[in-house]
Amino acid sequence: MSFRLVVCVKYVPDATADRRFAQDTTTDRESVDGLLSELDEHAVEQALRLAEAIGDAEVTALTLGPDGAETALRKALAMGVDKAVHVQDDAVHGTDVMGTSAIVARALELTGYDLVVCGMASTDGAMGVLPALLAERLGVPQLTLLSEVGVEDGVVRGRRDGDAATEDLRAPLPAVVSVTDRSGEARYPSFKGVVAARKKPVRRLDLADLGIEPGTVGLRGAWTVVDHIAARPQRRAGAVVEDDGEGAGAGQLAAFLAAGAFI
Amino acid sequence: MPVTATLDARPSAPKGLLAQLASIVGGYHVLSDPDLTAGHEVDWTGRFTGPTPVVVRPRNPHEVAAVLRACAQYRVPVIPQGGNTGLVGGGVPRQGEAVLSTTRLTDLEPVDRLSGQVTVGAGATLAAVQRHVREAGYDIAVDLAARDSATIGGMVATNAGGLRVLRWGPMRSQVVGVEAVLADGRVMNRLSGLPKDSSGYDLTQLLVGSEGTLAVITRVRLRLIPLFTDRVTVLLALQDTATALRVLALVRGSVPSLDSAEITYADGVALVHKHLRLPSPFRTPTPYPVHLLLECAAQRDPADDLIEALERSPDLLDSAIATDEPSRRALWAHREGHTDAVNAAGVPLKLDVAVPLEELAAFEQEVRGLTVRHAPGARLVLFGHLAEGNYHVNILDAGDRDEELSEAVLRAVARRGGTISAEHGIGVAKARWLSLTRAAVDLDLAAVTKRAWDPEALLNPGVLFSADPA
Repeated sequence: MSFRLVVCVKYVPDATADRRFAQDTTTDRESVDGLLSELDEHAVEQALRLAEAIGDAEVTALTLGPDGAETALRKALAMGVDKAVHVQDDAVHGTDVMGTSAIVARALELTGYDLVVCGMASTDGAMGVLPALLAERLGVPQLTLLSEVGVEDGVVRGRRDGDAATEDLRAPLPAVVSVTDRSGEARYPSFKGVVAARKKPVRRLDLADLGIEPGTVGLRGAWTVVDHIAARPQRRAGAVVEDDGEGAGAGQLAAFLAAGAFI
Repeated sequence: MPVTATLDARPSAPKGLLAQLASIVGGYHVLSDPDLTAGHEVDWTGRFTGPTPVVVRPRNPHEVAAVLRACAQYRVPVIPQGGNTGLVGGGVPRQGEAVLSTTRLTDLEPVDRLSGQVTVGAGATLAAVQRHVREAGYDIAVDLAARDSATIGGMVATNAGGLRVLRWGPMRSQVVGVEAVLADGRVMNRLSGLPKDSSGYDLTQLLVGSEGTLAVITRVRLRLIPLFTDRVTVLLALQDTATALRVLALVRGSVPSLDSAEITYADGVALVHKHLRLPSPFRTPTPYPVHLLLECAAQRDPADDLIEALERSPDLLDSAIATDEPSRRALWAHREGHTDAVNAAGVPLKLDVAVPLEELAAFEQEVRGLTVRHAPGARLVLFGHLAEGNYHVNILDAGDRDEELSEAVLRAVARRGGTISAEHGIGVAKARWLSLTRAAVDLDLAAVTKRAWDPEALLNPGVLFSADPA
């Protein structure tokens, strides 16, 4: 049987756009463009490289997200992923990472996997905990924040760069790994890739398919509650140094720089 | 003589003039201290520089007129200067002229939705105007890499081209009106922007490309285009220039949303990768011989047309597609990084030429040959706007062969029926070669025109004309 790689990808709002929040304190996904999270592109890239190295392997991209999340799956498919799974359900609205991990874990069990590949964090939530939660829920080992990853003889190996040391790790398969942006440049889709992507299958699943009770996820099922959202306060004008025409301003400027330890 | 050199060879302005200028714009906007004028005295390439006795910064057309009258009174020649991003030495002092900085002429009028036009100050940067009109749901058709510094007035004065000439034409096609001040202080206001006006000579269009020699442009009225929300950028790896032209011909006819077609070569791409530390977009260890960047813009998914046109092309060695903003910017960086990368590697000899498309592939080979022959140690970096047959020729380490090499390349251009300056202008850098591609009758008419607008030869002397036409 082919080695089954599943890469988890997230469709996130464009970080450079003006993001807004809805009345229920969830992110307003309608008003901004979304894209495949840049850090997840590295996960897709590593999954593709592993598949190339293994030979008889198949890569599936899996996402939990609204309609627009299909864009993220299409990009992954255009990069070379073989098929995609899109979990979508209205009751998912407002789910936090506890709910997300429960849903994604069930989807992984349903599709089957030998190795799950994740990015190091999403570029919107930026919590970085999903890989660990998935491993816990699935009951498999996790090797996170890898800059290098490889598979051989039923074992996944990886390298993790820490502040004080570099670790070489390994774990028996099946397992969950996450890869950092140092793991290698993500490829661009090619024309061939985009054309081929149109014919690749996208399987749609909802909570019922996964056997998940709606009340356990969504806003009501969340373990955390967003109390309050406020826009970042406007930047206040900084101190203005006016020169008296005789150059005294230079002294004030120097004093300011020194006081702030800028010089 | 109105301008005198001091003992340390810096020119000084007549005291009366400095006082008069201060009374017009305020003392704060009259700079004569060498430390303050220094930034205005050298151009972006570093090749052209000269001291100025004064930099004056008027705030509105009224002040511009008063400044010019004052300079005329003291017979001090004036260099109009915008963002100082020009590449032919047309915006910096040479013989002790005064500098009139337009950078405070930045007013942006509200977008006129009835006509799809907007009037802006000549000192507004392209980026500022882009932001302004995009907020209103429009766009300005010309875009270029120097957008954060280049001013609209300067772009009009040089008939700037840029990245979207393929679809929208150069600056000339965007200008529907100007307001400009003559050397004697008279103001010419042609800002109404009427699409149809058959009432005599088109003085507005004469100012486009006049490089500050006929009048100082103070305001510009521009036609706008719709703001397209969907863009696709592709980078194609190809074998050679002839192939790139074949691909261009293919898409030009079948993809109406095509905005840009930019060509780069392996040596320039390698320099960009090294200088900007950009990873290669393709998974090959060395760059392909030719990269062609195409961009399409539409209201809805322009990728389909492009893919349909190209998917069966046998010429593509490789391809990279980007539809989301970060990926598109990353692909563009391979092209837009060329100027910075070349500048980081030295002070390049820069030529900006265009030849008819049927000559382009042969011309490319000829330029490579000429570089090797005239300046054996030099490094040639070519890149440019494919659809206009416009190469930016950059030559590093030409040493003392740069004059010789420039002349050889420009003569080759002339032989092939091209232009010695496609979008950078003539400035002082190329005035002496203008006769290669402009006939005697053209040059005579130009000299007469200059005398008519600026009889005292006060505006940008030395630009466009290699000898004083008066």
